[in-house]
Amino acid sequence: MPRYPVTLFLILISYLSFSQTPGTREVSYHFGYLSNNAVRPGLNVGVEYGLTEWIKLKSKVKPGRGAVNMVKIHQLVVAANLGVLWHPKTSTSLLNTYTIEYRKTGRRRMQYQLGLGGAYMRSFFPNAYEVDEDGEVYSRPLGSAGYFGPTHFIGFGRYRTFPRTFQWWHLRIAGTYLLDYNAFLVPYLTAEIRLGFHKKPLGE
Amino acid sequence: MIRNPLILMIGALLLFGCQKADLADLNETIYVKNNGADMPVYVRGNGASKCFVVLVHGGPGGRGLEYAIGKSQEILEKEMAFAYWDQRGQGMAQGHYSVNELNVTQMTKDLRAVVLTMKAHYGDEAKIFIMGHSWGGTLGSKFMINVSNQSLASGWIEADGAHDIPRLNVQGIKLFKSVATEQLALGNSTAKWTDILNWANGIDTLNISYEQGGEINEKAYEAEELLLNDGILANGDDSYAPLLSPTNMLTSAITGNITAGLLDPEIESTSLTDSLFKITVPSLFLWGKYDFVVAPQLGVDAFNKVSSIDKELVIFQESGHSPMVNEPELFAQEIIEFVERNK
Repeated sequence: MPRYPVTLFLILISYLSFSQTPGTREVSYHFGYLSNNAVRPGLNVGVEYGLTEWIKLKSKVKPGRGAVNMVKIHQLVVAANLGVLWHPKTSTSLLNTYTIEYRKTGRRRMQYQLGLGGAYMRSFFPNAYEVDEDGEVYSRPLGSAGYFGPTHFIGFGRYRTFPRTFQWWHLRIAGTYLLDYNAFLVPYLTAEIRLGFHKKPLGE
Repeated sequence: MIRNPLILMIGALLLFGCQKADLADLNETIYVKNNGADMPVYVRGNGASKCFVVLVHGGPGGRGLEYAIGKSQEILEKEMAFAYWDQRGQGMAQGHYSVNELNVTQMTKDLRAVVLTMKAHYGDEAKIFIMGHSWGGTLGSKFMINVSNQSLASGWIEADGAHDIPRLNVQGIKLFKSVATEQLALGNSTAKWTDILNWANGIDTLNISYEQGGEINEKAYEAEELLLNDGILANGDDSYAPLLSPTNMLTSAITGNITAGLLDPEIESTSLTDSLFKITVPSLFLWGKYDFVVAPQLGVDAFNKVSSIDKELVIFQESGHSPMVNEPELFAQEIIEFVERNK
């Protein structure tokens, strides 16, 4: 069996595969539609950076199908997000999260993700007043309350072929545990569809 | 760079949330901060009437906007404005405070803060009526027996209010026995009423435990369901809270359940019947004849005990624990007449 053409073929296939999967040490930006329990709509913007990656390449020659190459990329990605959730009759909340995520890119560039991190949410109230111990009522412009808490999420999505500005989409569900909300810990669920962009398409 | 657009966005959203309200058709939210809690008050209805009913919701663990739906509110909000208040630790209320600040006395102070804020927001000429349903009757009664609080209110409306938990358990068992006997004689749902009668006969009314108190509450809804199915209770309103309301149901359910659990031991021993004589403001007591949760005898007691000159007790003949659901038109009419008389 001619060794060099096969090697060359495998290298070419690998190159093509990698050109269609995410690289590490690249910054991408994302923009998403965020929703809390389908009640409060919102928007999210953020930035993410691939810290490191592990690549697994499997090549098989199958009868009748020729060479089958499978590339799996396992990555660690850090991200910062700033979301705004809104309801005209309750509050406008800023949800700021910092996360580290394990992301796997597998067959057909499908991506699966699992991550955790920390969050800070600040809710701003309309027509806010405060009453002191003497019964005096004060107006509180931009009256608000803030909460810290851990957050975690799962999601899936797809990385699009070839370097391009709109590079991926993800759908993720996150649970953030707001500490000292009222007098206890309260879970806060969000769902998000997010679109990932490179400032400049990779490869340019 | 990103700071300015964000501030603009938040400003625009808050501005949209704070639009100048049309007084005749109010639909706005006021947040009241008191001792660490940020509590929303959803004000809806005819504010031009200058009559505001502060609704003290049931539970504990309920939410103000549960009461904002249905025929009774449709009628009432045309005549006056309703302020649906989410109590501390319930509905969409939030903020920071310790578990020790979750008690009936603190919540009574919160209600005072809500009333003071309503007056600050809508002007001193605003007439405030307090209306408590179920657990809201406990909280409302506790608020009303304070003379200084009474001076802020033009009237007190108690709808199936639980102002005496030990007594309501005893009266509840009596009602179970009498209604079960009556329904068995009529031949209605005989197997289930027999079970209820046997269960009620097994309760020692001189020594009702905390667990039995919970059982009484559960059986009460079971009995109402039977009466509804047998046509004894009116099925006036089948509206229910839509998912897409300002209340986040998950957050509300979690915080409400925790709050209820923390308040329960204190509430179970709360008995205000002997203090009701301190109430001198006009009072209206609205009760369902088949209310097993808070038996109508408590309405009779309250009516007899308060010192108000203008007082009225209405027993709705085809209602259970929520006459605003069973007989919404009659319920609304009684409130309209009471407010008209005392505004």
